[in-house]
Amino acid sequence: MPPKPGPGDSAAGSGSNKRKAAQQQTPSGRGERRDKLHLARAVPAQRAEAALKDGELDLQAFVAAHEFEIRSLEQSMATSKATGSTRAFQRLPRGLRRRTASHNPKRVPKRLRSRAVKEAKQDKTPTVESRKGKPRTTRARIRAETAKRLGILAERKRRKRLKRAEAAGASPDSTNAIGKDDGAAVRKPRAKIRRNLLNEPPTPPAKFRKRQLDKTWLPTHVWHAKRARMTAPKEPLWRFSLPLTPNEKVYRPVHRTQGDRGAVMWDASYMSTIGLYGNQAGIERALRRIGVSQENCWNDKGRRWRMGCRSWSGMLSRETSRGRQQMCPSSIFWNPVPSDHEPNNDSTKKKRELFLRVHPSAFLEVFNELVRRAKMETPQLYVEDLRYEVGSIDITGPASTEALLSVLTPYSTPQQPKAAHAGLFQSLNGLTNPSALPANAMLGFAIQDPRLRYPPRKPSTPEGEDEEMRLLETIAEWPVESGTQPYGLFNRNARHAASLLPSQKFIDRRRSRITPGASLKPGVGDPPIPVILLASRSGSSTQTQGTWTLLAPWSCILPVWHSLVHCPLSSGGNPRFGGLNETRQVAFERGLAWFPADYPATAAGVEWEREQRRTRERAWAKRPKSKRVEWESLDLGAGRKGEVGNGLACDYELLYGLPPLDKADEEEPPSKPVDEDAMDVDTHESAPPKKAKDDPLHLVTVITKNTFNQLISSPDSTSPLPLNATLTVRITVLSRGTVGPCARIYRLPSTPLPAPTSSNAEVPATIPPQSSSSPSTRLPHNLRAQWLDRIPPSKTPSRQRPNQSKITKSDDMETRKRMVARELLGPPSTPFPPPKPNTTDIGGHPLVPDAVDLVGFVTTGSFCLSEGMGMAIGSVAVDKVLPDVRADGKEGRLCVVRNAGENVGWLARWEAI
Amino acid sequence: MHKLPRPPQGSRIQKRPLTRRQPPASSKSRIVYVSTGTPFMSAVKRVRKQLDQGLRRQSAAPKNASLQSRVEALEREQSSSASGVGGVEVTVMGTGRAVEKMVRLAGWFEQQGDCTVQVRTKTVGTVDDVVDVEGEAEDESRVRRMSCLEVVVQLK
Repeated sequence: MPPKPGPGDSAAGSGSNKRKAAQQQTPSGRGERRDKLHLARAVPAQRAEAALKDGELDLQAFVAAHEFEIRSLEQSMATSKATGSTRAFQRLPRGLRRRTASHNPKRVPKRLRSRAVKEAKQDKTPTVESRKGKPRTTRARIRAETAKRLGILAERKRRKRLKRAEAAGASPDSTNAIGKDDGAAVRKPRAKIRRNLLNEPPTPPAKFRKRQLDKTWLPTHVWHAKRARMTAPKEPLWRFSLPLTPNEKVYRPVHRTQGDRGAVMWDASYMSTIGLYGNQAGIERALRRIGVSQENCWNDKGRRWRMGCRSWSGMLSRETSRGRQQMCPSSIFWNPVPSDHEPNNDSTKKKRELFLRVHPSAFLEVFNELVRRAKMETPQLYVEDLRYEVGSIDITGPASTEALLSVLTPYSTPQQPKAAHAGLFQSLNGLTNPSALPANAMLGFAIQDPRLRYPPRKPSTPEGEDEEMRLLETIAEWPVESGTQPYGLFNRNARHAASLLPSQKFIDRRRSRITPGASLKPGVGDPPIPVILLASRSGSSTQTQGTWTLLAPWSCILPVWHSLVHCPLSSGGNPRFGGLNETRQVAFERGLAWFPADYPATAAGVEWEREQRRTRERAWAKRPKSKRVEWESLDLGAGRKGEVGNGLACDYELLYGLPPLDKADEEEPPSKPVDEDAMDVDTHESAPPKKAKDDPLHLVTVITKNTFNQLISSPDSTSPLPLNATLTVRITVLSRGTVGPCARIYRLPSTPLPAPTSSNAEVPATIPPQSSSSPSTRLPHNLRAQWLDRIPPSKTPSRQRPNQSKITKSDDMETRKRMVARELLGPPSTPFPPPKPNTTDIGGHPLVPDAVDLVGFVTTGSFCLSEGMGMAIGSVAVDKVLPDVRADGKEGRLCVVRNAGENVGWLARWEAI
Repeated sequence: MHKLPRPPQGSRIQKRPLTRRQPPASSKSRIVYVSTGTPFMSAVKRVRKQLDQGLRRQSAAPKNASLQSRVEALEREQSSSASGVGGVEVTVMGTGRAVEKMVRLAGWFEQQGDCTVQVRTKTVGTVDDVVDVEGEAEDESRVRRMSCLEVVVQLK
C-alpha cells in the first residue's frame, strides 16, 4: 500500500540528507520551516484499493481502511500541533512566563535562551538594543566617560592596596575572606521584646523602608509580589501587605490540589502570636476569662493539652456590658515542662508559658484583654507581643506531609541528637491526610537550614501493607508524651540564634567544595531552627483534608518557603501557593466559616462588613446608571416593589431593627484624627477607632451550635435568648441556583390559619379573610405548599411524591385518546386575559416570602465545586427560626434564599455550624 | 486476627479518614474511590470517562518524519492494537459497606462487552478514636482493619 503522493511529498523522501539540503537552501531557513509545516499537516492516505479485496468490497478491509483514515487524521492533527510555531517562551510553565517582552531572548530563562536566539534569528524578530551600551546625548556621553575614568582609578587604587598588604606579609586571600564573608560576620542584635506592650515590626533594609511606613511586609513579600496580586499600596489589609490571589488562574486547580492531589500552601506569617507567661493557676484563670472555659480543657481530658502535646482551637470571647462578646478563633498551646523536672504540685509556683495564635484583625482586642487580665493576677502574669518574632506557613492537601518531610530535616549533630518528636515526624512518611493524626496534634523540634539540602528531593514512599500498618500503629499510639522537652520556639535565645543564618553566598561557596548533588552537613555556623508543627482537622466530613501549620522564627520563613515551593511531589508538580482568596475558597469548600467575613458578631467581622459595604457601594456607584441594579424598581411579585433593606449590605440593621449608623460617622475616613499627637507611635495601634464603639452592628450577638441545640431540646427553657442573637449556618441549595454574598434568607411562610377560630363563624372560609393591614395577604395562600413542592424528588421519601397525570407508557391506546381529547376540549388552562406577570409566580418560580419572613443574610456563597451544587455560609436570626425548628426539625430548617437585586428565590436547607 | 472489644459504656467511636494513596504522576492508572454515598451511575460514568480518555490519546509523529515512515508507523500501530495491548486501567476502590456496591460495579463492567474486569480483595487499616462522651477519661485510639475490594477495569 504505497501512499498517495501528498502535498508534502517533495520533502518526504529527503529525510537522510536533510541537513545538507537545508544548508544549500536559503540562509534564513524560512522555506525549510514552511516545508516542515507542510509535511506535518499532510494527512497520510491509502489508495482506494485498500478497502477492497480482489476488486470486491470486503468488510474487514473496509473497516480497517477507515480506521487507518481516522488514525492518520488524528496523528496529523497532533503532529501539526507539535511542530507548529511554538516559540521558546511558550514552552515555559505558566508560572514562569512574563507579561511582556517574552520575544526578547535575553528575558527567557537560561535553558531556553539558545533556542530563543535561534528562533529570533530565523524570524528576524526585531530586538531592542539596550540603551546602556551607547550613550546618546552629550551629557550622557560625558557621564559615561567620567564613570569609565573613575573605574580605572578605583581599580588602580585597589591594586595598590593589595600590593601593600602583600608587602605587610598576610596573604590577600585570607584577609579578604575573614573580613567579608564567613557567613557570620555581622551579628544582628537580639530583637527587643517589651512586656505587656506592643512591639515594633523589624526594621526593613533601607531600600525598602519607605514602602513599609504604614504596613509590614511578609517575609516572603518580594517572592509573592512577583507572582501574586497584592493588596493595593494605599490599602493594606490588617496593616500587612498581603497576597490576594496568584497571577495565574487557580480557582479549579486549587480545588483539585486541596482535596485530590498535590498541596496548597500559604505564608500565614500575618497571623499574630501572643505569648503568655506566669504561674499555671493564674494562666488558667486568665484563659477561662477569655473564653477557654470548657471543662474538658481543665479536667483530665485536657491533660495532654496542658502538657504541651496538643493544641486547642476555639473561639475567644470577652466580657462586655452587653454580655460575652466573641473576639476571634484562636489556637492555644503550652510549652511542655522538661520531663526530668521534679513535679511541683503547687500550681501557683509552677512557671508555665503558652502561645496564642490569633487573626491580626482581632489581635489588638485580644492583646488588650489579655494584658488587662494578666495585670489583675497576683503574682502578675505577663504578655509578650510576638507578632514579628514567629512566622508561619499553612499547607494542606494530600501531598502536604510529603512536602514537609522532604524540606524539614531534623537538626542532628553528634553532640546533639535529634529530638523524639523529630523521629516521630519522620516516621509519618506515607501519610496523605493530616487529619488522620490525633485531633490537634502538635510536634516541636529543631530543623537544619533547608538551604543545605536545596533543592529538596522526593522522599521514597513506602509500599506495601506492612508499612501502612506500621504507620497506622504509630499514629494510633502517638508517643509524644515520654521525655518531653521544652520547645525551642518558646526560647527567645534559640529564636534569635536561628535568625542568624549564614548568607546564601557562604552556603554556595561551601557547596562548590563538595561533590555535586551531595547535601551539606550542618556545621558550627549553622544554627538549629526551632519549629512547631500543628496538625488541625477541618471540615465536616471525615475524609476532608486537614492542615499543617508550621511555626518558625520570622526570619527563617523565607528559606523554608523557597524550599517548599520547589519541592517535587510524587503526584507530580510542586506545591501551589495561595493568597487570601484561596484561603476563603478552601474554607468554603470544606464548609467552614472564614474569619472575619463569616463572623458578623465579632468586632473584626463588623469592621469587615463595613469595609465590604464601602467597596460594594463604590463599585455600584461607578457603573453607569443604565447598567446598575436600581434597587427601588426591583419587582418582587405580588405588587411588592423594591429591595428589602440595603441591597449592597448584609442589612442586620433591618433584621434586628437597629438604628442606622450616623451618616457623618460613616463618611469619616477610618484614619485617626489629625489633631492627635502625630509623633506618638502607638496611638494608631492601641486606640481602636472611636466610632467602632457606637456602631449599631456591635449589638449583634452570636450563639453557638451547642447552645442552639440545647435551646431546641428544651422548648420552655428559663434562660432567655440573648438580644439580637444570630447563628452561623451552612446553606445547601436544594435544586438549581447559586447565591452570592448579601443574598437574603427567608424562612418558609407560615400557612395562614384556615378559618377564624371563633365558634360562631357563619361562613366556613377556606381562604383566610383579607386583613388590610399587611401587604402579605396579596401572596397566594398556599405559598408554603408551593415551596415545599420544590423539594427535588430524590430528597423526599417516595411515598410523598405526587402522582403525575401525564400520559405514561403503560396506558393503552383508548386511555391515551381520551386524555388527549380531554386536553383539547377542556377549558384552556390559562384564563383570558392572561394575568399580569409576577402576580402569582415569577416565571414559574414561587414568589419569595414577605419581609416579615426575612431571617438572615448570606455572607459567603457561590457554586461549590466539592459538593457540586450551590452552597453558602450565612447567619440567621435565632428568634425567628427557633419556633419553626422546634415545631418541625426538618421543615424548620428549610429556607428560601434570594440574591440581592434578583426576584427569583431558591429553596435551600440550612444547618448550624 | 482478633476482634476489637466493644467501646466501654458512655463512650463512642469516632472515625479518622482512610489513607488514599497518591498515584505517581507518570502512572496511567487512575483511582476512583467509591463510598456508600456515591451514586452507582456516577461511579460508572467516572470510570467510563477515564477509559475513554485513554482511548483518545494519539501521539504526534516524530519531528521530520517523512510521510512514508508515518504511514508505516500507523500500520504498525494498527496491527499492534488489534492484538490487544491495553491502554489505561482504572482502579476502583471501596471498603466496608461499599464492597457491595463494588461487586455490583464489577458486574456492570463485566456485562459491558468491551471491558475486562479484575477483582482483588485487600485489607486496609484505619484508626478509630474511642471518645469518652460523659466522663473525664482521655481519648484512646486503636487500629481497625477493614476489608477492601479493588476492581480494575480495562478496555479489551
